[in-house]
Amino acid sequence: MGEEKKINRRDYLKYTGAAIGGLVVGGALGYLAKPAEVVEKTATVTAPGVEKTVTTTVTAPAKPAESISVYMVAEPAPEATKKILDLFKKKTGIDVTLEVYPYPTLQTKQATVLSAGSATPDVVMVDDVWLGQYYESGWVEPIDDLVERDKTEINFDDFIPGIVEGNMKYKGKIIGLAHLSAIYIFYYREDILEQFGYSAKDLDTYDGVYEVAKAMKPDLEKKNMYPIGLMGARGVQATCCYYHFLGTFGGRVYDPETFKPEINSPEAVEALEFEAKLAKEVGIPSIPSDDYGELQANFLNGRIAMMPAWHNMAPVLLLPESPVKGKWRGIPVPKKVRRAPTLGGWCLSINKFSKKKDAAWEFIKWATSADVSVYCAKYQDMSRYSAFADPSKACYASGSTTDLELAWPRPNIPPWPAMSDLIGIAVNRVLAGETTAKAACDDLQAKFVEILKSAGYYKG
Amino acid sequence: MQLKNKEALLLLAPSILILLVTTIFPFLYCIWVSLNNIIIFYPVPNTFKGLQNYIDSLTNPIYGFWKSAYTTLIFTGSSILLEFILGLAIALLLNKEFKGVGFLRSIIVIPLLVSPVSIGLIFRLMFQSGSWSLVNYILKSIGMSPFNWLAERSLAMLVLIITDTWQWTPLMVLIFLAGLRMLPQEPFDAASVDGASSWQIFRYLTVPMLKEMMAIAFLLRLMDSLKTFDIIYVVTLGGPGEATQNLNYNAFLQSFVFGNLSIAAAQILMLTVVVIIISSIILRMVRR
Repeated sequence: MGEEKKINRRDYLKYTGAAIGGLVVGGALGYLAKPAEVVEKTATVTAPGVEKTVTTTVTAPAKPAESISVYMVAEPAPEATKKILDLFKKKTGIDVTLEVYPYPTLQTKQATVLSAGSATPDVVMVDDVWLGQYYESGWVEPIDDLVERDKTEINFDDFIPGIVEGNMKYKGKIIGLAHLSAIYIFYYREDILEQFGYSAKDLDTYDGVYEVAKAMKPDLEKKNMYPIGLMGARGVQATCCYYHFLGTFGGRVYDPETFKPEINSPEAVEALEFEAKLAKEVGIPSIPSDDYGELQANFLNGRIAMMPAWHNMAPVLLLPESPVKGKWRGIPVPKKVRRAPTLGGWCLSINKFSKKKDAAWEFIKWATSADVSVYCAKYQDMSRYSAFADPSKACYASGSTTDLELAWPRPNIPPWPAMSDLIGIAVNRVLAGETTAKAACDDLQAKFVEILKSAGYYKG
Repeated sequence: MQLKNKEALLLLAPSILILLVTTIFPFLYCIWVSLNNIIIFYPVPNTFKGLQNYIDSLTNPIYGFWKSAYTTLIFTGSSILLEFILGLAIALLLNKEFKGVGFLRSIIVIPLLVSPVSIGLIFRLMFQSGSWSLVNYILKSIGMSPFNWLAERSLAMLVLIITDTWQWTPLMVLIFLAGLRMLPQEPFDAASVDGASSWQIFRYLTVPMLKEMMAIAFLLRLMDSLKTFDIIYVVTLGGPGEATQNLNYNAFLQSFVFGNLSIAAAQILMLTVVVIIISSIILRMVRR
């Protein structure tokens, strides 16, 4: 038998170096082998008595098309925007890779890449409650100068003022241009209320809503229906629902000047007590576990007669196959001290670490333009007056711009998402009967004092 | 001899590099993060805090450590116990030869092939309180009242345990079945000849001989179950209240909602230490 062949260090390094060198050379050849762009140039040649047009062929190095990456939330308007991306490419020559993610996944994904300083995506979608986080973390920059430079093209006055303040600005600076917006309205089954002799005017106040619900409850229960549905499952929707009641009853999370928490004020406690009363006495029993999808399905399937909910639930309820089509109406939310429809919405911002900020800005201007807004308005509320100009082109118009102008925006300071999560837990516990509204609000107050102090907002 | 060791090291270098990059370095970085003050959502300057994050996690209820540790204990303990018992019972059944056993052995793995997110969504729908709740429909059809499965603390936890058990019992079955197939037949034949009952055979032969497989199965599930996140996220979001918020989910909230990476890292490392201790104890008991 021959001697056992051993690999020595020199051979090992030789083979490894050869492999790496081969890869590098192959890559370089591949790049150089890319077909060059062939361009025809026409020149006119003149000589005494002769004029001749000569066409020559010039080979120019291929210019790669610019491409950008965009993240958006998985909602009807972004999905609609995705379908017309080729129009943007035709206009600008810029390729767009648009990825849509569900709400919580988008935050996780964007927070992960942006905290790592990644240049991708070039455009991020920022929920109104994340504006402070993204700005203070240094992930996005103000675009006031870009807006000023392109103000004619953007037609800034076309944006609804409440949305500008709530969904686009942080500390007075414009962080992005608003894409889709969302507002709370009050849905009710017109046919069912008519059976009991009620109409929209009886739903002008929440006291009225409660009385109507109580009156209808015994007969509705015989049909396996309930008067009211709410979003009570732990999460951002439970917070949004309570936040609507909080504003309606004249409460607030904290003093905007001093940041002193006021979540256990008499108004805040009363708001939560009222929400719990609605849930317990006239609500569908599944409220503590109902999130967005469940509430929408409850109304769609005729299990509830009324609900305060996001305007963007309307498109599904309007589908031809909807069991409740033609039987429901949406009206501005009822009032107590005031009307306070929770505002939601998203703006498109430039990733501070992007290397293609110009292209990103072009996309943002296009995606939030009047033309695209009018197109997307078929699917969801947008943020411009022009999107609502023609009711026949909007997904649902029932004084929507009025609702949007009444907008009750949530805080957008960096600690807010954490505070929002705590509110969601507290509300869920109250609705599930685990604790009282007063105890829950007191607990929140203590936690908010700690959070706002450690974040440097509250000095008291 | 030295030359051979160097050759071996060179050839192992790529694997070691991958291990360093994907496991060792992230672990060391996690320790570093847990000793500092890294918050991603507002510009708090990073300072070295030493063990303060660990102390804060254990003493400040706002970080939810003890509540989620208790939830983890309930969820993990109940799920593993159920999976263990069911897995062993099914494996004993599938170890016998009868018509159709081959088919049963192949379909038993189906839950393992489905993604946890899909399973979570299906079980959420099944146990939802709405009109599409399969479980409530069945209960109503046999004359029982429906339950608000996801709205009550103990029921929500039960739903998660059922979901987890449904998905991971087949893994226990496979491990136990593999162990049973490897056992020598002679002791069992001898015991039968000597008149031992089925229970005596199981108690004095099967269990001692399967001890190591049981330890492996238990440890694998323990490490996995402690990390459960997906089904909690999909089915209950940690609710109602914080009833189903385990340590892993709590760490996720600390990271991506509260932005406090250091507290999250400290909590996860404490969990890791607990897992290492439990694993060591179990392996020692098995070796004895």
